[in-house]
Amino acid sequence: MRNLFRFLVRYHFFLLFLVAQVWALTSAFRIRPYHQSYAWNSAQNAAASVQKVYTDAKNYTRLRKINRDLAHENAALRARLSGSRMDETIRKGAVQDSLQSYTFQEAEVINASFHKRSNYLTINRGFNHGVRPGQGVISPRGVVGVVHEVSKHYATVIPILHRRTRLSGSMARTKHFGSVLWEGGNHRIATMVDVARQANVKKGDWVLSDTRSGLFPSGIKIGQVKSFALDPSSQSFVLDVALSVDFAALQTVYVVENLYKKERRALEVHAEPDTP
Amino acid sequence: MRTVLLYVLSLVLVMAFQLLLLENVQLLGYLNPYYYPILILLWPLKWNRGLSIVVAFGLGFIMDFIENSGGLHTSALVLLAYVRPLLLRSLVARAVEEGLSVDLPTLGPSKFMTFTAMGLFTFHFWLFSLEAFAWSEFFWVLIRSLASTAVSAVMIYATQLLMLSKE
Repeated sequence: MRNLFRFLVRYHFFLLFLVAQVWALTSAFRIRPYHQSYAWNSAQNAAASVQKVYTDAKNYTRLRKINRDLAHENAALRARLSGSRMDETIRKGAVQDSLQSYTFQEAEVINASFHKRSNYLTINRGFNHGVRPGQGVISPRGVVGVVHEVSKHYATVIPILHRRTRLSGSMARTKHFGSVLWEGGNHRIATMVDVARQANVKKGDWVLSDTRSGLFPSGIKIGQVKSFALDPSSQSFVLDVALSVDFAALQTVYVVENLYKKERRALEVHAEPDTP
Repeated sequence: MRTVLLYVLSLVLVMAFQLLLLENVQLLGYLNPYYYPILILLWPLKWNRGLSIVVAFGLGFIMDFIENSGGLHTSALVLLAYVRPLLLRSLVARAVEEGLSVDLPTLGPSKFMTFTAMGLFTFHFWLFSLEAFAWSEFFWVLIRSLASTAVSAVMIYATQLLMLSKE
């Protein structure tokens, strides 16, 4: 007993250090399930509301650019209205019908990082606004990421600039699939892998979102091919993609809800191959 | 008492500077310097060493909370608080026993810079390694740590000069 006591006195700094270190490392590396709320995270209101005040002030100075982005988007959307198209179909008892399959919830980015290996965004919409973990997030310029955790009024988003990101994308011209991921470093460049050798990639090709993940509508911009190389081991292309979203200047985003996600999941569950 | 008050005041100022300004600055596109370790780095040796670990824990917690980094900052700053006396002892043999104050005039420019650089490198390297957590990114982590250390060290040195000129 006395020896134990002497040991504690002698090494109390080290023990204190050890306790603090173990606590920090376990909370850093604990596996966090998607839906489980988590104690120190800016989805929690205290940090988020402080950040909001600051971001509001900062965004005021960027209004001109934000307006321009939104105007660009309006123009693109206007071009897609049926009124701006010439209808050449001959209607012979054809029923024109369509169902809405995606809805969009606008949100503002109130906190963001882009210089770390794994970055996060915080947005000012949460559970009360219908945001749920796993929904896609886009911006007027293109794909942003996926909702990570949700509190009542806020949500955190895992952007493309994250170690765990793997988004499905497709080449606009040839429709070949691939996965977009980020290898760190430059926040304007992502990597696309597993693009089939037949894809005939060219510099400047657009990489767009596709519906394989069910997170985004198809055709949302991810980026443009900057350079490419053939990976000799897998015989598929590896592309450097210049991201169309500038994560260093991101304000307005939309959370995408796929209204048919459940139905599709229920169906696809049966089609999934046995995992070893 | 006066030094404690001064420390609390500088704690508030340094954290505000880190969170409101530096968090939004990036050099060369990806480099984000951390200045707040100065609060642990220059912790007076006369003060309780255990308390420095507790304060490091608290400051790291705040950073993790704001940056969504789990416990990475806590871990790195606690490590810095723990190894700091060892680093000092390696530079000035009886520094800890004599309770030297850790600043530029006491240590002299070369020892002060060596100490600052070693401490900051420990902090950044630990932080970035845990963040990347892959051997494949070792050199990238190393380069980022060295660059961040250099920038932070210069800022801390400048702070010291500024305080000298005031006195």
